Amino acid sequence: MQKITTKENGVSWIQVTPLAIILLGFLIAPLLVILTVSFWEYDIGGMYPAFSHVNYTEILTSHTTINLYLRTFKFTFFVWLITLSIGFSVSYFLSFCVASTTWRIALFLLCTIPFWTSNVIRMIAWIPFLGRNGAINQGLASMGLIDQPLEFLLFSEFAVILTYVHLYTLFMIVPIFNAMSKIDPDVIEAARDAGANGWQIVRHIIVPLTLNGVALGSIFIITLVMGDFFIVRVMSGGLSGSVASAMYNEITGLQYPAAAANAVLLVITVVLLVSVILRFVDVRKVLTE
Amino acid sequence: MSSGKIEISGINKFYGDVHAVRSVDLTIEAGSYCCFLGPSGCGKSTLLRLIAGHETPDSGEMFIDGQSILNTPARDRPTAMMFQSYALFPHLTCIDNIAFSERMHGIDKATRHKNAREILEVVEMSDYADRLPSQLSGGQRQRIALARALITKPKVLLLDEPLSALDENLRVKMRNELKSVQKLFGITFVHVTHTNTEAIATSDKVIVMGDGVVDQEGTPYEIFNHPSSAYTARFMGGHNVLVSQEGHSGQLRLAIGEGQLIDVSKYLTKKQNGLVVAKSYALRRDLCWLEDIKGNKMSAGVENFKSEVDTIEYEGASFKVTLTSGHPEKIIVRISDVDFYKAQFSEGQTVRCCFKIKNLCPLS
Repeated sequence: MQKITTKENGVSWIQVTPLAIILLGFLIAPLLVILTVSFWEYDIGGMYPAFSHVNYTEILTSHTTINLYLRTFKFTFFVWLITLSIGFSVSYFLSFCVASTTWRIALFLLCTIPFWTSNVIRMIAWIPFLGRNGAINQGLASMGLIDQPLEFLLFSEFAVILTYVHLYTLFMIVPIFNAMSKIDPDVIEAARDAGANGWQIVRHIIVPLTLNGVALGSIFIITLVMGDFFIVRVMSGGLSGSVASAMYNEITGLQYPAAAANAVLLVITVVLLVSVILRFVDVRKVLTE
Repeated sequence: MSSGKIEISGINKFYGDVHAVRSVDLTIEAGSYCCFLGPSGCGKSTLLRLIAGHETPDSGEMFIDGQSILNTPARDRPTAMMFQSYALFPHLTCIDNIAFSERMHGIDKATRHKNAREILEVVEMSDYADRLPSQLSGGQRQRIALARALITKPKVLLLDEPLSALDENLRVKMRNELKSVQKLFGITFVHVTHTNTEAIATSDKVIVMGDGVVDQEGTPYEIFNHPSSAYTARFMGGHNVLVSQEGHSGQLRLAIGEGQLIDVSKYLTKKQNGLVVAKSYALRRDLCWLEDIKGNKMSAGVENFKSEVDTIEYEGASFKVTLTSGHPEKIIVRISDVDFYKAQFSEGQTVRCCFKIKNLCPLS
């Protein structure tokens, strides 16, 4: 590790300025505004500067909020679990089953192709596929496997999770693949030489050495899913919601202080989750190695 | 009774169109220290990996202590490998690196740590048990890698260029330690290297490889003093290779330079120190000497030729004097610093290069 030394002439201060301005102007300042507004009072007429805990009390004592948080956690958990399994298997295949580097890079680029189009298109594309008269239902019906169209496919929690997984898996694949491709092939061979079988190599060598990548991917997935309001709204047909979609409702109802309080709570929740992850692994190491 | 006798017969290995190992036959005695010596790409590392089971031969047979190992996977072979990069598990402490194989075999933590500590003591690394590999120096990593290989109680330890990552002084120290560990454990060591001094210093048997085949095998003394081919002579270093021309009516002449020949036919008939007809001869550089051009009394069995000093290189205990003569490569004479200072040769000076006929070693 190198130590950052600040020179007397202040060159390093100039170097750090652009990032500092961006972070101050676009992160710290808006967060302070939201924090301030979350203590304000409001009614149908408008909002009034105050220092009141009523917004927080309302949110924390309401069953709706608890349910929303639980549902958001549920989405996050399942999406995390599924993207982790896909991310790990795809990375494993790319790193250890594909011998030629050219093929490895080609197949990896293939993974990114869906990401060349916008999120919205990729999400909307599922609708004709999953709908009552969509491709899956028609296909299953024509094979005689079902009499009634499957209702759970679209506008359901299933559809929401499916879309999340589709949209966000790459965020798990990239950091895990990155970590896995750095494993020295000699290390794997040394493990085999020491008598480890295939499963033991995965368990004792590959998993511990890719843990940092997993952590990084998990942070991506958690922050993306916890902060989403659009996918959950469209793919559940408005039947399901998340914490962020509740905020969206409050904003459209001009209840800015309530939305702000909700936002502060969500930020705290996500920061807590991420700091738990960071307690276990050193993400900085992944980025500097 | 030591174990770990390796027998290899007719082993071939192809990588696509490249014939990496060509019909190699070898026997390595149990409990001996054997070196595979050759330049990079000569197939020595491939042969080592074939013995370890990390590569599969395309044809041939391999036995350890009389048992075929061809169908035994790497993890079940009585071999252990020490990698060039050491390949320590970066997330495990030294003691857990060493205890890894016993952990894989389901031995409980207390026992495997006790065994690992014993080996740590052998390699004098007890104080570093709880360090991570990244916190160790190159030489320390090598000791841990050695300990990790030894704990599996192999019959054969395979070392892939084990010293190449170390600096010169450490290399000399570590090769002695490898040798003493080999004696202590009494198992077969197979050591791959491209450094001839390393091979000579450590091994009981040197196997010189070139282009996928075994060029020569023998004790370090045999390999150094009696190279059987120009390839081995050149690779071992310390030799001049003199090409000969066989004229009509039993003439034999050594090419010293283009058009410069020494007639050595008269030595062919002598019973003692007689010369055997060969296409080329190796002549140790340190067994040649230079004399002033004026003195010309030569004792029996000594030949000489005139040449000019091209370059002089100081090597510490000796001087490496390159002459302008020599075909295809220039003749080099190694003179001790004492002799050099006495004579005071300089670049461009005409000298007389002398050698004894009995020191000419015929090459195939």
